[in-house]
Amino acid sequence: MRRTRWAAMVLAVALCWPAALLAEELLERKLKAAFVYNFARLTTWPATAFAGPAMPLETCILEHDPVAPALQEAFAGKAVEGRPLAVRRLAGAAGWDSCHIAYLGAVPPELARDVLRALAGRRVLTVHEQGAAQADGVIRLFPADRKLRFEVNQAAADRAQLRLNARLMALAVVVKAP
Amino acid sequence: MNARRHSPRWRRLDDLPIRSKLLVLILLSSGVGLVVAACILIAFASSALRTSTVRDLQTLAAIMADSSVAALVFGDTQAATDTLDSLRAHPDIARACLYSPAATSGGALFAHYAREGAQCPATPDPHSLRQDSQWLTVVAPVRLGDEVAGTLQLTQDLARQRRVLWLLAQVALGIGGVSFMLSAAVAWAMQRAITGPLMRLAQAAQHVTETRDYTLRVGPAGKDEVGRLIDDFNQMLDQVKLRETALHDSAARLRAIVDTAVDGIITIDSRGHIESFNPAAEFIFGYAPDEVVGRNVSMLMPAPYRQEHDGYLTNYLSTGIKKIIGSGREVVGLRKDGTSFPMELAVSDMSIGSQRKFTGLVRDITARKRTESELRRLNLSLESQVTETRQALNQLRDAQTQLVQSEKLASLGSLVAGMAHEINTPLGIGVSAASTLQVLAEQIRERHDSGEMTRSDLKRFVQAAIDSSDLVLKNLQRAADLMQSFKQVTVDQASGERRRFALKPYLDEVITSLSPKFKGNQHRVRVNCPDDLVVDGYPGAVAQIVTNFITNSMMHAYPERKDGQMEIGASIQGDDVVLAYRDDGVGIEPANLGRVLDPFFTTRRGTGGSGLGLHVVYNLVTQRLGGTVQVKSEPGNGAEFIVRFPVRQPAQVAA
Repeated sequence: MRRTRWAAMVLAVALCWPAALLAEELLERKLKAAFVYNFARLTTWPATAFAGPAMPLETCILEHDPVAPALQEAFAGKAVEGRPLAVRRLAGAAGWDSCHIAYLGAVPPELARDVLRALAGRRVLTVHEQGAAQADGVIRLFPADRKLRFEVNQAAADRAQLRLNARLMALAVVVKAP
Repeated sequence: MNARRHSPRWRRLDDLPIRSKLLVLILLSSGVGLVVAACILIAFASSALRTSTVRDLQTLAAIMADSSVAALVFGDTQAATDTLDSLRAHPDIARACLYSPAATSGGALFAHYAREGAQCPATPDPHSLRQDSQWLTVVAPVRLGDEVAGTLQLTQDLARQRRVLWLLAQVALGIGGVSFMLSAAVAWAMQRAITGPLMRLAQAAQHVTETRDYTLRVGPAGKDEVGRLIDDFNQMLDQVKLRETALHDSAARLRAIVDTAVDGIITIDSRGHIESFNPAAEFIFGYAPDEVVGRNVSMLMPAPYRQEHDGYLTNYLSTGIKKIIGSGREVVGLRKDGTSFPMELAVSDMSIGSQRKFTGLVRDITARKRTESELRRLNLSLESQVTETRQALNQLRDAQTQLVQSEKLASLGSLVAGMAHEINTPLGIGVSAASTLQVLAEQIRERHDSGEMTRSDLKRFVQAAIDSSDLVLKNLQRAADLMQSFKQVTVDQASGERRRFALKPYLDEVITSLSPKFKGNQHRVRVNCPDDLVVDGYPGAVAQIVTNFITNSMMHAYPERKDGQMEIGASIQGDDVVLAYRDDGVGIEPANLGRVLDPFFTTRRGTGGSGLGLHVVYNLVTQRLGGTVQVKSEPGNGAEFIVRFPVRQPAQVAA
């Protein structure tokens, strides 16, 4: 509904503005940021993933990913179970293993594969947008019927010791990748 | 109590027989109880059903909200609709509406599920709970963590609940009806247990009332109140029986008293009408009871009392001022034959219940009045007689004094006679001796003158002269002696001289002076007295006392004997002389013992007893000697007189 409202606004903007395409992209980034926020809310990390009770829940994103500003905007002032949400922007393939969520959006496939492989079994909720399910990726975002959908690799989630909310699973396309 | 003020309907219930009353009461109470219980049950069930329905719906809403939260946050309308469609399995859910939060309004419809005839409103209901006759609606927030992600509104159709409640009410009413029938049956059976004994009691009471047979008893019952009532009733009958017997006895006793009373007893009521009239009253007034009962009591009074009596009565009843009541007084009564008579009337009043009654006790005092006047006359004559008697008594007393005096003189006379007799003998001997001597002297003078006197003649004469003069001298001496003693006695008796004297020789002299009395018999008197007993007093009195004792004994004590032994004993006891005289004669009859000292009492009136001898003793002892006399005797064992007088007698004593 928010989306439709946004869509209505965007449509209004698009009718009277030549940069309508840019607006739709902006909307998609915000949607992705909201998805990541909801994933954070519907996922339970093991207690060892945090140094302390009030330590922030950190989401890592590639520095130049266009979703990064939307993510920062969506996370501002939010908290999940008392943990403030933080966004860390990384320059390359290094440093992902200390994050709680690794968002691998607009990244080169090689880099995505390296990072995913590096994070396999590392208690990091990985969210990627590769063309197909990845053995080491937990959640994959993909567009379908002009909607944004996601699939969950249950085996990867189990290896990462993450418990995904059953409601999340009900909405997801579950893949049983090895 | 208050039943009189109850409405007619309640009065009709009061008039019902107890068994119907009991039945009505039991059915009424059990019916009310059952209705109340059914109402409470239905209300409770309705409340519980509603509470559980609301809770169930809220729980369902919470579950549905939880199930829809992911679809809502990820904007997946299809998934949310699928979730809500699962409510199809719940036939009572009329609709389920999921709203996303909206910035401007309460919310925007995100997904919904609705049965036929139901629609979701554009915005959720502002109340979390809403119920109308048809629907129950709950509104629950859809939460994700701390954030409200949307609102779920669930509406349940209450038709099924109403059907359940209606069924429950029918069941409750059915159970109530069955219970009511059962309790009616039980009450019908039970009321016999209560009313049975009551009916028996009532029948017994009625029987007792009709027949007055207080010996009837109601059979035993249980220990409950009715049983106790029956026991009490039986005890009450016992009491009534006792009371009746006592009342009957008391009435019979009263009737007997009234009927046999010597006084007339008349009761009247407050108007003066006679209520009862006892036999004594019949006798007094001459009326039979049925002639007077019911008529005014004034018929028993002569004028003017007759006219005034009603006035008295009303006066007393209104003022309480009594004329006769409470006190007896003499009034005049009127007999049937018209004669009036004096009577004594005592009236008492009493209240029996609210009635005032008066009881009059009437006594015919005609006879008494006559007796009284008789007595008064007798009294007068008696007074004059008493005066005469007193005069006669005085004369008698004078005569007695004279007699005592003459008795004293008589005893003195007998003393003189005895004395003459005593002296006569020696004087006679002296006379004959002197005359013999004179004859002898004449003879010797003739012989001398004739010269024929011989020597032997002279010798014989001298001898005879000596003998004769000796005899003369002796007898004269004896006469002189006798004279001396008589003189002493008679002088003492006559003169009443007071002197000191030795008792024993004096008593001896007295005995000697009485020696003529002992001639021709063997009576002897013994004197037993201490020699040194000296009395200061009146020896004459003592002599006369002793003389009278001896004379008395010789006259009365020895009718057939001539050898009586008399004894005079004297002794000092303190300041008193006790002179005890006793004989061994026939004694004194006990009946006479108290009278022998009385004047003129004698058992020998015809043969010369004066009846004064011992009275003189009594007089002398009590008046002259100031002492006492005591008589002791047993028939056949002699008599004893004990005289006690002071050894020093009072200076003055009247003779």
